[in-house]
Amino acid sequence: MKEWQFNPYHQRIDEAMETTQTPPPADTEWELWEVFQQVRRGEHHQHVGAVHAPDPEMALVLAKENFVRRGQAVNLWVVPSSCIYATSYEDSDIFQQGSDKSYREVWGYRGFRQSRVAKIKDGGKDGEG
Amino acid sequence: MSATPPLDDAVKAALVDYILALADDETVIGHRESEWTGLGPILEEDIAFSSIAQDELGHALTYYTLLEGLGQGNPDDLAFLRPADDYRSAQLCELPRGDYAFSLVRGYLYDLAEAVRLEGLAASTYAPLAAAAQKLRPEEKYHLMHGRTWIQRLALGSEEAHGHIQAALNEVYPAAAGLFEPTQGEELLVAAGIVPASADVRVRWESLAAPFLADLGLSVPRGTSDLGGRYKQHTEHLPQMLEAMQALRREDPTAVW
Repeated sequence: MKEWQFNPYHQRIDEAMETTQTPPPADTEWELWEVFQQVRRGEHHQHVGAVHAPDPEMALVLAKENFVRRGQAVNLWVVPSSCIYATSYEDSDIFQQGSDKSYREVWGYRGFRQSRVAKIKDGGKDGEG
Repeated sequence: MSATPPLDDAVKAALVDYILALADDETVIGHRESEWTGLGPILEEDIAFSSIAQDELGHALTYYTLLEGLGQGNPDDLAFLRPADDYRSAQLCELPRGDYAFSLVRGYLYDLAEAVRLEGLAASTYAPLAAAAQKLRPEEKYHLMHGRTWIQRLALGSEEAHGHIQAALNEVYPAAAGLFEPTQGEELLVAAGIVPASADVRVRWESLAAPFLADLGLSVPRGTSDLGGRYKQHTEHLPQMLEAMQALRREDPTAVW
């Protein structure tokens, strides 16, 4: 049997170890940008993740290859994460449904449940609702 | 098959040489760029640059597939079973990856040359080559955006960053001449409207590269170095690289991937 020799890779492991011995100071970390991808014109941009970058142009360059190297897009947005305002998880009970809210759904109406559209959509199984 | 007229033997031989040079350029620089995988300066850039390296290997596959259509054997064998002294890649591509500035500057100058060449090839009278060129062009546009964005920021950044870019440029810019070294019989292909003349590609390349670099306060070196790749002359770096790249395939050429 031949002895395997992946020299470049062994060499790279050594280099990686060297690099990790001196961690960069924390203040070199770049700003975080949220990335939004539009798959087709006219559709909503959808949030797909975030990248670190020093400025918006670089954020777009990195976002393109990190999120659309496979798949499809016609447009990308990047937004500084610091511009996002969010609710607190401590307040997540505000999203609980305290009472029956089915009247807010089309499905909540007896007339719709019995309609042809609903039957077609459910494969004709939803007879009596 | 499309209605491409049959090529006469001399033109066909020249075309094989020409496409082989392009394919080998892509294989060698793609492999060199892939050596940064896992070692990139930040995670996002590591992923982006690795993806660009994969694109270059994809371009190589496109060109090797054209060669298969010209009776030159299958793409895997062309990439993985030929020795260094049968490769037609420019010596620029085989130089070790150096520091990150070196790989960025080499990548940018290479991608610009490729983009300019593809512009001409997209109008080739050899239909399969024109079709391939039209497919590859959009990817080069992104590669160039990536390269310009990084080089701008480093060249206009700290003195240290600027110094790294300038040092890379001093080495890479003259060596890029190897990309424009005409292959055997290129003049036949130019006369038949199959490929743009490499000398013209170089002039256009320089008219785009030099002002971009000069505007960043970089001095653009003169001169020409590292020729011979198109005629199978290589530095010691190419056999070393191919030994690693081809090890697995040579061990068991019948293995299924």
